[in-house]
Amino acid sequence: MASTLKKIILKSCDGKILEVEEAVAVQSQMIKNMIEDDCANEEIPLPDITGEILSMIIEYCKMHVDGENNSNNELIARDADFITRVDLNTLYYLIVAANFLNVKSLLDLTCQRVADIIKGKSPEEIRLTFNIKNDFTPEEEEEIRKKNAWAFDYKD
Amino acid sequence: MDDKIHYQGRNQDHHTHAEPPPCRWRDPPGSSFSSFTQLHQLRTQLSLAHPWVSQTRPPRGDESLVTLKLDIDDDMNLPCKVCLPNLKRLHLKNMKFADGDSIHRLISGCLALEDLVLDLPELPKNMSNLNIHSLSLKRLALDFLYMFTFFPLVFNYTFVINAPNLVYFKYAGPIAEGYCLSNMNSLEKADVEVYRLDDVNLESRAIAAISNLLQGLCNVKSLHFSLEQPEMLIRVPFEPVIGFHNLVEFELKTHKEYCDWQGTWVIQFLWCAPNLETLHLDLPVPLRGFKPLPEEVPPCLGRDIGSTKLFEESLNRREAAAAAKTNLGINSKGQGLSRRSGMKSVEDLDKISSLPDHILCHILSLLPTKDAVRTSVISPRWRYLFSSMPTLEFQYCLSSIHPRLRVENFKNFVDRLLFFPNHVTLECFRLYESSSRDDDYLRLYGWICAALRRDVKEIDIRYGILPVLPISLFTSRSLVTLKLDIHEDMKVPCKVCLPNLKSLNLKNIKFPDSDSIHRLISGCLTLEDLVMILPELPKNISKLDFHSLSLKRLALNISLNVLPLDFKCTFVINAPNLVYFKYDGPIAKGYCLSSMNSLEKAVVEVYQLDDEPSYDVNRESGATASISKLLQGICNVKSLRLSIDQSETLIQMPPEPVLRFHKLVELEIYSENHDWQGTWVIQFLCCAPNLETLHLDLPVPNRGFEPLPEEVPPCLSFRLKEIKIRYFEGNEHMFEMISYFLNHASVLEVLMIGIEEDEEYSNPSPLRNVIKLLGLPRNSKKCRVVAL
Repeated sequence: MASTLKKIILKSCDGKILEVEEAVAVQSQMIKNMIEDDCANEEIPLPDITGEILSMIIEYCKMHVDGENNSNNELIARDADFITRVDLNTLYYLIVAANFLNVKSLLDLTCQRVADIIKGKSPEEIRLTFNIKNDFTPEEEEEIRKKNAWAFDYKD
Repeated sequence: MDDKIHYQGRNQDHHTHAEPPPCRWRDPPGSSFSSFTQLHQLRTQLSLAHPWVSQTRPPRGDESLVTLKLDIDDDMNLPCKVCLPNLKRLHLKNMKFADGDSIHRLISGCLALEDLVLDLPELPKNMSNLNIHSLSLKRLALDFLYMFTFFPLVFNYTFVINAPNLVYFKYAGPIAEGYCLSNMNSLEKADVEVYRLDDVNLESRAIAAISNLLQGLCNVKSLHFSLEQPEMLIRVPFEPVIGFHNLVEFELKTHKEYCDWQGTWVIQFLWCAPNLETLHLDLPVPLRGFKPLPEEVPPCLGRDIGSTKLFEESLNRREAAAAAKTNLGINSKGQGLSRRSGMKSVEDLDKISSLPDHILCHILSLLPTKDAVRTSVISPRWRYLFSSMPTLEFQYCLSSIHPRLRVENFKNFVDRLLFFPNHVTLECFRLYESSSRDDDYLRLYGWICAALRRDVKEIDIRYGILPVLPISLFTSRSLVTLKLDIHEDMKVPCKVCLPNLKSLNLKNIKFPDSDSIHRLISGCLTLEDLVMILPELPKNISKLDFHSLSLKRLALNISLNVLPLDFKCTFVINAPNLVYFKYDGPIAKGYCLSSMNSLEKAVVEVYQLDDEPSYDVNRESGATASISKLLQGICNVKSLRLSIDQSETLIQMPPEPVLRFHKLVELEIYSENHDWQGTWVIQFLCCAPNLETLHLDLPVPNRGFEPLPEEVPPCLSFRLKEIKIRYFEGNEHMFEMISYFLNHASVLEVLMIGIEEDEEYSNPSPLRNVIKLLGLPRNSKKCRVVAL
């Protein structure tokens, strides 16, 4: 029975090899295109995606394929559960990988998570959270704040 | 005899306290405080006008107030002189003080006060310092947590607390302007729960205030701290240095689901508490690991920590605990801390800024516009990102901006954003504003024009009065979705051409004549979705035309502000490809519907305009004929929701001419009128031979089967699988109908009955009804009866 299910072989940048069912793999638009173009018969090398991130993405895709019959709310709850387990560092690599593999739902989920983290924070807090260096001089910053002063009044 | 005054005002349940009442605090060891045994006799009644001066009343020997608890939702009028020499416990809840001086006066009048609880909904406005001076005070609880009902924009009070003998201190509320606490050498326990009011500018002051507060509490033995952004607001290492030399127990928690913290911060905090024995962390999943890596092991970790407890509440919290454990590397032996070395260089990079523009813009477009705009000061990389956002949403921005000076700033901002020489096509321009000023609409007019010039795909405007709409709105080639909610006449230009418009949603818009509506719709060549909520119809209108071959979904809602006496309009709807049709409004004079062969779902909610009992027979028969026409028009539907006031008189059974819903598989009948009986429903079922699901959302009928139904509807014998009855209170007529269903439905699989929660337990009780139902004979062997 298992032999009827076509497997796609993915290779991460650190050499990890993962076998994935076709139904799961085609959640990625990129792999889907490759299969359609008949380029997916050998292993597909994925530069810039580590084995750890790749297995997370496969876990996510599997969850969505298995959960197709589940109610929408259940999927949302599972998504939330998946994404809250992720720290910022992993989140970044997930975004990059979801973008590369073109898994739209995962890209939306990860971007939404970043937006949720940014939401309601002051610029200082955002810098601290993401370790962003402020290259503005105080004068420049003041100038920008003044220009869009309405947005800096209160948090909503 | 009462041994304490316990006066609770009318608003005792003013807010639901999740916490126990503030008087129930934990006592430090060795204290005999919790027993209220040594109370003096007290004859002062609850109605006392001024409990403040109990001792100055005519002396009555041993009378004196020891405990005073007041929960009154009112202003406190304090006399000039307060003298309560024996008062030990004072609990005030929900009271308002006129000025700071009255609080001060009250407390200084209580010479032996040991226990003070202030649970106040607001503080005097003209006050800057709240002074609490008392040498006798041992326990002080300040609770302003429920202040948010009167949510102040600033909380610019300074708390000056000079109570050197405190053993317990609690502060719960917004972060104040400042805290000035005397040295409390005997402090055993402190509970602090603070949150920051949402003023971005206050950040540095909030940090300073918390530092002051911690400084004042530095002798405490047990500290419970709860705040929203621990890492942001407690800057470690402390400057100036704070040492909690007596601290043996520390609990840190946050109520926020997302919260920035990482292990290093905790480790650095531990440096301040060399003698810590117990550490409780109740924090969500940390977003970051150690950065920078902690350099040295804090002394308390190496030596003293006996228990590290990480709260495990929900699933998330449990994972948080696991994550924190690995991140902290703490164990009971105080070793570890060497994990993750070498990660520093990777983790320290600002990676998010290296994401491609389109992803960052996507992230920004998921934020409220205000938050997105604020990211412009993060760094030069983020400076102009927001201007490329494909979606511009301004929801109630104008009305929420303070002060008014900023409004011009906001308008200029939108100008710049929309007129920005930018090649990004706009996905959506959305602007909601509840009220509008006269001069604003011209601005909005300009913004709509600008959005259209940038080939916007969706325009969604909710605005009070917008007298003119740009002509370009009616000739846009890019527009796919248009939603307008404007209380104004719509002047439709002579030429309308919206070749790509798929969805049109018009609310509260008035049309001067029926030709305007016709012109607008015929100009939308590919329109699929049309929603119209009309507040009034053009005057003297006799016919309303809807012609569209592309239309798939049509919802007409005639929610008239002023009810006319007559609704003389005829609806002519020629949309043969409709899959969804809704009509919600008064019964019109006539309906002329083209046959809709692909109709999946229809919702018909109609009512008669004038339901005075004396209406003339002609009008009623007119209404009956109208409804008959309407139902004829949708007879190909698969799923129908029918809500007709006085359905029985308006849809006469059996219908003439013969009405047949051959494709109908799902039927829902809704009404609030009690004037119906089972026979009518049974007869209606005769018109739907293939019905599989029947939902009845009807009130108690005032009659039973009369006349008795003659023939069993074919759907009941061969098709009907599911019946759902929304309310069943045990009414006998309803019971009669249900038993009819059970008796005749041969293939019924499930009968669902909604049981009314019977408030007065009038019999027969709902449960008994169900048991009675279960005992009824059933024609279908596999039928289940489910009570909801």
